[in-house]
Amino acid sequence: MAVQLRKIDEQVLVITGATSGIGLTTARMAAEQGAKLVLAARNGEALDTLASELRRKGTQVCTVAADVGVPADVERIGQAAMERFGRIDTWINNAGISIFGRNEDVPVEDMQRLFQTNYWGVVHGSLEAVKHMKTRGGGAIINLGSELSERSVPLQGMYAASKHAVKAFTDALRMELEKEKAPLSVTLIKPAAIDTMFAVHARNYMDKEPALPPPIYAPEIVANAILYAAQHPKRDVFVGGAAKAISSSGFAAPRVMDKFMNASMFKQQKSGLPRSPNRRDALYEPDPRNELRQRQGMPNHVAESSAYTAVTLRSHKIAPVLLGLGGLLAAWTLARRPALRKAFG
Amino acid sequence: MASKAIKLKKLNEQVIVLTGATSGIGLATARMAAEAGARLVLVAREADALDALAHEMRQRGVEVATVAADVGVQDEVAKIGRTAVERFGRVDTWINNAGIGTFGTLEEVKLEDMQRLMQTNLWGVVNGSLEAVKLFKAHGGGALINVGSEASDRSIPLQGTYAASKHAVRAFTESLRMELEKDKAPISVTLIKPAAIATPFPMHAKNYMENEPTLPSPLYSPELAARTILHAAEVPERDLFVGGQAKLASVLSQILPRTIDRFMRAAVFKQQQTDQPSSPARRDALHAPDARRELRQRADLGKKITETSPYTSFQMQSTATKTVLLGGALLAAWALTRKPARRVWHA
Repeated sequence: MAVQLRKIDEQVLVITGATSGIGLTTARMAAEQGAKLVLAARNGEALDTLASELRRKGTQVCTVAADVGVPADVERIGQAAMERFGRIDTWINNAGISIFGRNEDVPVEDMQRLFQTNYWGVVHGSLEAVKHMKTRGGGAIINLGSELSERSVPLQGMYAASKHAVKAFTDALRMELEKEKAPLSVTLIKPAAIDTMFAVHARNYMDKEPALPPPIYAPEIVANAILYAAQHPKRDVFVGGAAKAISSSGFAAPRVMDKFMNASMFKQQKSGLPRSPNRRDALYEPDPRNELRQRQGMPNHVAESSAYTAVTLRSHKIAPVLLGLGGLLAAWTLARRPALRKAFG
Repeated sequence: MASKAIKLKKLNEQVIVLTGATSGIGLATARMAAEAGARLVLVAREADALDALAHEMRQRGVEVATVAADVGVQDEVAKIGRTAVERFGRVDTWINNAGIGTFGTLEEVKLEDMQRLMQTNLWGVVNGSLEAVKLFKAHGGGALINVGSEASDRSIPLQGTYAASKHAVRAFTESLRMELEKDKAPISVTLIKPAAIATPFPMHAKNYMENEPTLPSPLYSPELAARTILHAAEVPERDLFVGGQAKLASVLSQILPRTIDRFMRAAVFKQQQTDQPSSPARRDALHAPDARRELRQRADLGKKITETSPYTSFQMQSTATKTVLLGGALLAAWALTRKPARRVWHA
């Protein structure tokens, strides 16, 4: 792609879902690297606390209390960014929420609420970003998908559906913008299970508290990948080798994956704790008791790095090179067959 | 390939619920099922069209109930279930087929049109699936068949929201299938993924492009889709493509996504528009049915319509037959790569 992207320390970044998990980690990392930030989340107080923390370190920040599922709120994010900084270089649609439970047990209203945030939030954000960025020099639109953008899972059916839909929307937007030769890079980030407040904030309809299946990766790896894509045009990025593995196996052997998931995902998505009677989730409203936490702090091992992501982020050319080598090997082998026959009669 | 432990009845012993029954694939499927002797519960938004269709079928001795309903409304879908049970005592197969499109870029299509599309294509399927599962569990099992699309596996420019809805249908169907299998429920869950089918889909879609919409070739017949759907009503299948093109697109998008991006940029923008300008008075069926265009199975899109598809038929063979066919194909390929034995000519 011929799109030119600035270095992070010259950028204005919009980040939704900035007060928790991946969004919070990305905001802090971007601040450290000198970016100017426009941070959005539903909880104004949490945003203010975060902004103070970042301003004390010299970061220029503006905050917008907004629900990405509401188009007018998302317009305010765009407006605030333009008023404060005059431009937007990267827009990161990160805000997301989940529900754990069998499809038969989850009320359709809750499913629709999830979809409003996870899908329509991305639609609103992407289109607002295009509006401000297309004719003003371009930039990067980065949408958070999931490994569940490629393969579904039991007990998080609507979350997977929303992330599949985000992938399709992002792919169509990318093709349409490329057709217009818009100076915009459109990236889909597909993380594996990440140690964030995801399982705490999710609504729960299971008999046990939700958990994430291993392997679980650190949110810093995702933040790193996002900020890399903000500076180097990427089509899509799996974060965590497990994400790529799920996607490829799901495609190559769907029945095997169905059986594997049935054997493992019911157990692994449930913790040992019975469902909490006073559980508060963040599906409809933010949970103020659980703001400004990057990680939940998983009892099991969290991988702090991903070799797969590190290699694939930087190597645009690896696949064609490997294919090319494979092709050469095949050609050489075929060319040598008559020689073999001559040699051995 | 799917769980063979689930037994499904022959069509002539079945009660089949079918949404979007008054047009295109739904209409073709309804007629084919009627011919096969099934008892039908036909659903669409337009009561007059349903009555006309039911009348046509009753004249041939088919037992039909009709329900005018918008699948996007959960209460109306509950009414479908109640009607089926009141009239026929149970449901054996539930086919979530109702769907609609929009043609235009994501930047130009109005948000309320995108949302309306999603309401029908995704929430209609969610509502229908959950109602079907409830009925199946109460009455001994059955087949749930959700109509996805080739766009379930691969997005399309100018139909971004449609593709998003079909991607979501695929994921929802997949998670529901796993959950039902865990329960060991005697319910078969199938996702049908048609390639471009020659139905009034482009005419019913809301259009933002300058010219009238159409679909890229190859175009397959709605009867091919109907046969595929009704196969899944009798034989448990996980997913079925309709049209070899759909399978090809799916595989290529997985292994060569950027190449397909480029191909679509070069070809698919053009291929989805005719050279007829779109009339400002154009009517579509997005927010309400278009009464003038009901009861059409096929549409003439000015392109060749492929009636048969070797790949589609191949999918529907038994595992044993598929093994023999694939084995035979591999054997043939191997034989062709062998150098012929040297002929010794005696003078």
